[in-house]
Amino acid sequence: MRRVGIFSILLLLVILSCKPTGEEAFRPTPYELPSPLFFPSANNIPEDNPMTKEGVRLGEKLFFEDRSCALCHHKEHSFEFGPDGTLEHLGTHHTMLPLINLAWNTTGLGWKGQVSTLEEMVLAAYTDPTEINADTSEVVKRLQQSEKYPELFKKAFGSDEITFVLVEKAIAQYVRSLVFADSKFDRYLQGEEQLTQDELNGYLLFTTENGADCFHCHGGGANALFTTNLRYNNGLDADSQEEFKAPTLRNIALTAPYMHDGRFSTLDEVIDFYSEGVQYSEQISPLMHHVMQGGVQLTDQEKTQLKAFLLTLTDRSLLPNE
Amino acid sequence: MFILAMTVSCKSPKGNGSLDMQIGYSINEKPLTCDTMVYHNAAGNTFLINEIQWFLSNMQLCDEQGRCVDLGDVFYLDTNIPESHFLHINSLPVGIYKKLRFTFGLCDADNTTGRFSNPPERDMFWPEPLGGGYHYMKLNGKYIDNDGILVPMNIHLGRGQNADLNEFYDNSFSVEIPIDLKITESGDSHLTLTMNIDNWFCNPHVYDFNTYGSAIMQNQEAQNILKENGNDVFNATTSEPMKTISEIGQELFKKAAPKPHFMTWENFKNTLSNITKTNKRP
Repeated sequence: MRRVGIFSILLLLVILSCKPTGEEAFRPTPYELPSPLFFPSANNIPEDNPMTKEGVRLGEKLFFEDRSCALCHHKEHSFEFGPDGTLEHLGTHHTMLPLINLAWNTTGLGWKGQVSTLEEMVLAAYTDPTEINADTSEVVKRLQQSEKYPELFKKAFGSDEITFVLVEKAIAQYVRSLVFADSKFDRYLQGEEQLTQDELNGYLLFTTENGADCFHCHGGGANALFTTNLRYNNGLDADSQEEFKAPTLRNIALTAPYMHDGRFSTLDEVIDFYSEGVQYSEQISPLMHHVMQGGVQLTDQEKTQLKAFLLTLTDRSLLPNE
Repeated sequence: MFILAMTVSCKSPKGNGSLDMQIGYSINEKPLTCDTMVYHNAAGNTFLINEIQWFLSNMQLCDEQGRCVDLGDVFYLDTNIPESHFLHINSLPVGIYKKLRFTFGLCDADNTTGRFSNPPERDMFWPEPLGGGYHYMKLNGKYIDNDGILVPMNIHLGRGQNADLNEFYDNSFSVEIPIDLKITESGDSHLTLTMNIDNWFCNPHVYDFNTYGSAIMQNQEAQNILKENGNDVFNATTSEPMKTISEIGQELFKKAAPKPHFMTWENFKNTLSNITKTNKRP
């Protein structure tokens, strides 16, 4: 009886090890998302779109295609448009949010957190009249007729029959692979590089309630994403009732203009706003407890130090050389 | 008595049972309603509460002989997450328990930076320059200040520090509450733990928002007052029927009907509007 059992198991293993007849088994190479210090272990990778090296590679090619994401998301500007990316110039309803460490954003995408997944975000960007404004069936048709793409889709998804759902999946995989965790501040956390005294003072201001009090919404230290990915009413306008997502501050020096409407073109203007430009409204976030003083009231020296710290969050490892 | 002693002294001679536990909030003698209701404290402050997020740790049930059963290391409670207030605890030795014991917040030994990598617990982090670890509690809301203006109010408790940020204080505290809880194999035992919010602001110290302002993470005097006031903030009962998540959701999320003696949000705003007309804000 025992021999019969062992024989059955061996037979089953032999059957399972055989390749399907007439078709090569589809075995893409898993893509391992890194686990930087103080990054979450939870991510937003959907079960039906696991990251693979082939998927990420395909996503990158699609991202940089003509009339695709890179039309506005310029690599040299940390995947944003650059200083000219104002609402007037872009004609969009909002400025861009950083494509930085989005694999760990589990609370919705967009300034209002209105988009659930990166896959959905790709579709939204492709079809929005103020963004790519493409006919997805035409996109698929063009890719299907190209020489290189059917083979790339086959390697990534096991089929050379292209659908827009697969386009969404591939680009989402590429965006998830954009991991920024090699800034001066990261190296400081790992004991590899020292911050200057001004940068350290800036970090102290960043993380103290009596200082600039940035950390409640923008993380820092034990939250190395430098955002909670939650929405807040930060007192941009008097009687404003709207809440917007706190963006990551990683690469903040490279991602002007700032705020959902791009009203600030420099980091200095942003710091000035939080120092003395915060507007009162009944709906302001309770975390904006300096509102009655108009902000956190930083001295010129403190502003310089805070900016010095923010500049330590710049990571050019995925960007072209300056 | 002998039989009872045998019951609790032996290792579950009659098997194990389970416990359904609910954590709730009371304020001004009513269940808390976030965002909409207006409350008053002993100092005469008028305020509303937007959210409460806090840690409860090292929870134990103890019998008359002082032998205790661990219920879990750390629990995160968040009024934005109603389901976080319902705990189902399995494998409790059958018996009679006389004490609920836990730590409010996280004691220094448990309060290590990086312990929680994922939200929402991660977002409770307490910055390293202020001592590190995690907030024990964030109670966020707004109050009417001395000028009659509705201003932010944050009761953020955690590790304290001196002015030079080179000496730190463990502000967590132990809570022991007498109970009379019978755990049976039938598994229908329940326990309700209630945070009485009023008591944070009185006994032995009257806590006035106007005195301590909106931000107290760097104010050890305020931290210590709230720690000492925490002595009677919690109570527990086994007699009340359990509420459903939906019911507690109604209490926490704006759906509860305004109580007659409370000021509604609309009335509050009208009152506020009258006040602010004569108090120009800066």
